[in-house]
Amino acid sequence: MIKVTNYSKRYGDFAAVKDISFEVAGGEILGLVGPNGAGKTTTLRALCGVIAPTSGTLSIAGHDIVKEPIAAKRCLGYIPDDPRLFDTLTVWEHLAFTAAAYNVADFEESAEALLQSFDLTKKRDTLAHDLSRGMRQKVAIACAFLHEPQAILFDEPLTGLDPRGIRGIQQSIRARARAGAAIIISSHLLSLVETLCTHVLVLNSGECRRFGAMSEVLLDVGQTNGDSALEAAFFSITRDSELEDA
Amino acid sequence: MDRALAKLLYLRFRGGIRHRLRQLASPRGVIFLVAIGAIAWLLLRTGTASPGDGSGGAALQGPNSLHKHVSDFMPLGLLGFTVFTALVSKGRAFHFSPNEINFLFTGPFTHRDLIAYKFCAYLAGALLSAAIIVPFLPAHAGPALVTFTGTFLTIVFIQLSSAAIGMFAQAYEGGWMARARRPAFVLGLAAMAAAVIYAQWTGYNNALGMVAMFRQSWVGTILLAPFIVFAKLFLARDIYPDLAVWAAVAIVINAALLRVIFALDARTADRSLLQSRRLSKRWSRIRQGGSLWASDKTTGHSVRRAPNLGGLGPIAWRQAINAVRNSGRVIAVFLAVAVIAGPIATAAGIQSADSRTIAGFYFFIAFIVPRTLVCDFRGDLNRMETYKALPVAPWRICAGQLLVPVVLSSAIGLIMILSTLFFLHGTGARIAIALAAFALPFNLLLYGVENLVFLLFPAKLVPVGRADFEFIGRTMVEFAAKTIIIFSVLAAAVGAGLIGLSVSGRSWMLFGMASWLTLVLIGSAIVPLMGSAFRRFTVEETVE
Repeated sequence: MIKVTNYSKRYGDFAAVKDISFEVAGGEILGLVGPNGAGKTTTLRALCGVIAPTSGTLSIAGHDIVKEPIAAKRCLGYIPDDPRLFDTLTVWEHLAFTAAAYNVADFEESAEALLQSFDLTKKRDTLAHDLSRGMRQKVAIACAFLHEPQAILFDEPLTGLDPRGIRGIQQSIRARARAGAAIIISSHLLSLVETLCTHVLVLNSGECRRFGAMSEVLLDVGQTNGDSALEAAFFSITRDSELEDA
Repeated sequence: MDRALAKLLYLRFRGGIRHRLRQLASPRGVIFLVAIGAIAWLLLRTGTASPGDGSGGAALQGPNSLHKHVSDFMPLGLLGFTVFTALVSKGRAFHFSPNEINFLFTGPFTHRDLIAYKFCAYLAGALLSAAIIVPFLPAHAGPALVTFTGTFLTIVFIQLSSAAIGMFAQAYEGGWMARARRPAFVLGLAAMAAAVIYAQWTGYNNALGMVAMFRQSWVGTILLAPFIVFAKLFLARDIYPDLAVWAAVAIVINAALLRVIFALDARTADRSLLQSRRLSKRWSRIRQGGSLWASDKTTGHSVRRAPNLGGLGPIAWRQAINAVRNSGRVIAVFLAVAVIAGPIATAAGIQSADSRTIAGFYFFIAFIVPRTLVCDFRGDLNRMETYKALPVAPWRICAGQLLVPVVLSSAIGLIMILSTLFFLHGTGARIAIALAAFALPFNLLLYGVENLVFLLFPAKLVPVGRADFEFIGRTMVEFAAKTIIIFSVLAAAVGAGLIGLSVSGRSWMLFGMASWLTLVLIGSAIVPLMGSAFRRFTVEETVE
């Protein structure tokens, strides 16, 4: 569903991402982890067509994001780390706007269901500038889910959410995956990635250090369970790569 | 004032200077400073050359005429401002920024200390504003010291009176005076309209003449007494006794206003804090591309559906909502200005063929309206990521962005043309109709260029404090560049019209059609150019 082949992104002399390749099939949830500056957001932005790759191909549901951007974006939902909503639109109008942009006919029923599942029903007529950080995040997720995308990209999805919101988002991510969507979650919250994701990709300094099924990655560092298994794996992988670089 | 607050003022002043110097030290800063200098020099030259050349309005034709206008209209202008503030004020007093609230409100300072601190900051700002304004006043306005003192004390008066009125409104909220504001406003407007209609109907005098007569009457003199002081300041012919006496009276008035503010402070502290938070929130939205006139409402009636129109619909729909909610008031003001343009110009004795009228009209349509009516890409800098991720072709997104501002601006222009046609002598119906036909393509070109420049060189829309040289310089350079582009396109359109004229013999209809078509073609060609610029637009390159 999501396929990245030999993707690189350079800003002048600086290589933000170096020749990475991976695939996410429908029903899989990939956790994209790495320290600050590893290239996670750059990868997500290239996948959703916000920035152009320097080289390589990125495709969504078989559509190359560079050659067929419109078709690729129709199959995609993207939730940035700091969702910038339109200040003058209400919550409902964000959904109406998304429905028109993605050509979703008769969206009202799905929109109502999304509002209910994210506890936004009472906020439907509230202007975006009056929403809290967590509420804005929920609106962005509801908009991304509205057109039933086959691929969903989350950049730090739980920032600013309350415990109830966190549980709700986790449940809806799992539900989307069960329904066949391919999902990528970029996050620093390793416990979230460990409990939610089926696969993991560790990025460091723009390079892919490890990519595979969660169980395989954890097995590699000798830990398959416990609260901090992925954390141990993460530090082991990134430390090894730093030693290699040194 | 507390010594720590005085120290803070000094540090902030030093920081401001350091920031400006850093701006000027960069190559871009130097370019913008040179541009400011060149344009200021041109304006100063024009300003000193204008008196007596016969082309200007009466106010610029000589010292006697100017002094009469200051004496007649300045007190009325100040009264009008005061009344307007009293009627519409929701309690704008002294504004404290969030960092000031965090640091100072929790510090060991009395609220009186904080107001004194804020007042000193305003004084410094007023000094700087006066220093910037005075060189641009006509040379015959009076000695520099007189105009500087007059400008400075008048700015301080305006700020203090606004604050005092705002605090008064807060302190007596819910009283009969607060309830009487709206009816009083409507009555005042009705009285003014009746006076203008009477003047026009009877032919007894023009509207401005009537206003001047009221000012010189004994009723006017009593009513306007505090405001006449500031006009007298500007009209001082020598430093002693004229300037010294009137400046002393003005200082006493300002000191009395400050005393009122201190007295009202205890009753309005909570509301003042709330107002400061509200204003800070609004400024933060303005910095993100919103409008100064933006609504404070927290809810709105939702529109159930947006049109698709091949992807163009939702963008235009969103900007239409943005225009209504964010710029509704500014649109209303512009429409009102357009409606009264004709009657006001008639009352002031301005001719439509006057070069100053045409320049003023161009400045209004090409600078003031686009800078204020921001409902396109320029207000969406922080949301480019959202647009980029949409499954809509870039040229459609660009066309959707242009639709609303072009239609609104054309409507304002058309109303202004109609108003001028009805009221101003010398405006032929044919010329007005021709101008009306060109309004839409001209605005397409105008907003196309405006957005294209923005997509190629994105920049903030509001300055960072006073004397933001980079912002001022950039604004001037951009306006000059846009003017060159627009005039080049207009020249091309006229050229195409002339070709049509020579081919057809003497058909002015063909001249107009060829010019119009050329303008439409070039204006439309900007949309794909914008699309290309949008594709290349780099969203904040956060590398993570």
